[in-house]
Amino acid sequence: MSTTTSLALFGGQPLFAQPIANEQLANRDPERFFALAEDSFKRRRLTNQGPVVDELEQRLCDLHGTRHCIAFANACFAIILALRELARPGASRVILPSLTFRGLPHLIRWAGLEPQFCDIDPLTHTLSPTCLAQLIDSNTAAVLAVDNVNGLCDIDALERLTLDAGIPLLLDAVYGIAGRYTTGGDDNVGSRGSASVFSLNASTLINGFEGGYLTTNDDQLAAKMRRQRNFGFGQDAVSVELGLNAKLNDLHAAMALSNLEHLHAIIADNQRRFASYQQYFQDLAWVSFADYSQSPGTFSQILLKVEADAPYSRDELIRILRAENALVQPYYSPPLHHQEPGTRALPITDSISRHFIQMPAGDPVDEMDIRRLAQLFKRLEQDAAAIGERLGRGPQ
Amino acid sequence: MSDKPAFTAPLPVGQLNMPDPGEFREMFEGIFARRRYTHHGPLELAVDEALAGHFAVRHAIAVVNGTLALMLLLRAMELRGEVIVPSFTFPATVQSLVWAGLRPVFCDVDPATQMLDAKRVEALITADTSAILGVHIWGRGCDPHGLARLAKDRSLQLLFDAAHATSCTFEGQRIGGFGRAEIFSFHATKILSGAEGGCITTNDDALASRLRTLRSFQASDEHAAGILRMNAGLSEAQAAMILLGLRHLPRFIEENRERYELYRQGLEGINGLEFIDYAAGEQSNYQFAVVRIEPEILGMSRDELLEWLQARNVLARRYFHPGVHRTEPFASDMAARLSVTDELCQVLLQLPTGQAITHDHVRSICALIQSISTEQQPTNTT
Repeated sequence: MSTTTSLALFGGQPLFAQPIANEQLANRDPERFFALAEDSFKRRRLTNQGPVVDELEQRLCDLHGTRHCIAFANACFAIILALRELARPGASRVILPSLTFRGLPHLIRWAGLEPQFCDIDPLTHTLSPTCLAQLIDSNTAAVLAVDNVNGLCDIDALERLTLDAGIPLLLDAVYGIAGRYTTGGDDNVGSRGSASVFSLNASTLINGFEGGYLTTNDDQLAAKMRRQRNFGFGQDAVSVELGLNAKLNDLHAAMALSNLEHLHAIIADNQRRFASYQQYFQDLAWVSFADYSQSPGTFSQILLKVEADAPYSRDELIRILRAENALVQPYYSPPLHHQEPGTRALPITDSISRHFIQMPAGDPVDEMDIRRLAQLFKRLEQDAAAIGERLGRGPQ
Repeated sequence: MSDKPAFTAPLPVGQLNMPDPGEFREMFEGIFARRRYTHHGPLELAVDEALAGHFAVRHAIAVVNGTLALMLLLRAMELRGEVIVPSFTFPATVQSLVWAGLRPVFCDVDPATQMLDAKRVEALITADTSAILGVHIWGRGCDPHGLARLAKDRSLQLLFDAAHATSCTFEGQRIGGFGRAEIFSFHATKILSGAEGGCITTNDDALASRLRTLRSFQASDEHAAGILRMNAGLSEAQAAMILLGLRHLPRFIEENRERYELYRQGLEGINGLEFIDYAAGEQSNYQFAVVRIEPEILGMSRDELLEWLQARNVLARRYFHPGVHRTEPFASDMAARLSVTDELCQVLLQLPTGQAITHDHVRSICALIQSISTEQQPTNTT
């Protein structure tokens, strides 16, 4: 049978009987989860800052080396509340990258502010300090920088720019977790800027079903965040400021704790997975991997670049792979500024957003899956002309 | 009377119904086998369907907690300007309005029902009013027909905070289908618990569709600019807890009813203390035991009684206290005068209820209160 007819896109059996995606989905110690849950049931304490949440916060403080860790029902609430609290009074704009999580502009608006997009560094895909310097003005309320899986922010430059301008710097650091900023120091991700926010969503390194947390060394901000996640309650459950219900419950915290113990093993497995990708894909000249030289080393996402001279476009490859039950995604594409009328062009963002695929990754993906993906790519290379024709665009 | 605790372990207010460990393990092993933890998993979908059935509505949209249910609903209804709301409620009712860019206008309540009624609301309607947000306190219907007529006459939207009202009826009709939409809470202290959780119920197809888009950042058909979305769906863990709770809901209600009746009987005949019989004539979840104190007759204030009970490990609560209009961010820039609300906040007390409270506990609490009332009342001191 030729590759053309065996492709699932053209009616063949999918390569993977069970879908594989790009989510971590770690569940390393279910028995520990059940034991923690049982303790919670005995205490009849499932939320409102129970002891499991306390323990998780303490363990995360230790991980990040910060004075404070405040857990939230998810990372989005942490970002909204932190932005609202940190925003420079009288200013309305939050500068952020466009090549990032699509929820961020919504969160900025929930905080009563407006997003302003900034171009990125071509290597790390993080905020370009040069572009940021051009955008900061009197209407800048905050900078929301994002650490990426393949590269951490240029934290020294971002801190210098924001400190000079008197603007808070909030980091969405979920992909930087367990990493270290090595420029100019050796600080844990989570310990720089005004505060950092992390996710405990199942798709990320630490699976807490859903959840998030904020780290900071700012005592006042920490006290505010603790109040605001619980209706702004001060003493005796009386609200002393606006808040909402952004509490992490103890069952989610139990899941996060049970996986946090295995963080280094999860990362080591991701590193092995990335090494397999590099090994099995090394003969394919028309794809390459993002530069991870400045990455936090967690490899929770595998970013595959489709070269300009490839026999397939990035989007054609995505169609082919998804039909095979490899549920790959375009990497932050289209970028967020395309949905905001009137935003000026961001050339590096636009370019990066056209070329990358987020390949299958995480605990459900094993070495054999990666080998089979590489074999598929090799067949696609060999039969490029015939497949191109079936794709309806004629031979290239 | 001895000042020693009457109970060795504290007796809390709140349902705190825990799942059966075997059922819990089975449900969670299913989640782990599917490797589906969040983002519209099969259990979230099952919860939406089960809740729509339970609340007798076309749509239930489950979310992370009751506060987010209200915040998303207010946004989805695209309200503007002012919303008339009680101050005798949990602070989240009113704080949600601020998150939706709306201005609360506080309305006083009927002293008998502790809730809004159409007459009081009507007096506060202005050209800037866009909606009425009623709250079904203790699960008792908040004048749903009167408010519906008023809303229709004045072209206003009507919605309800039904956080207390799971499984309750008003004039025989299941709460959930009143107004344009209602929201519920599945906090651990409520009769149906997802540890945290909430939902919106509505018979409005378009509103339901919009809410399903708003509750997550997942890919959706609806991409209209200006719609503010949120990561607010239910995790599979929360969904599992709610489904387990629904299995045993009739039993939880029956156990609550037994405690409620014991309180009602046990507190009878105390001068200056009235058991609020909010469940009379309706189906109720009986999840609260609320008493009203008349300090002059009882011989002690609500706060004195509270302190006395707490010293004996009876962790009764002031609920609500103070009125939301006296809390931030509202107290500083509003001058609402709500005499009934202020008085209720001084005289109501919630007694321990829920799965942790046995019949003997209730009898002992009633006996304690009987004893202090006998001690305090001037007629009995000779």
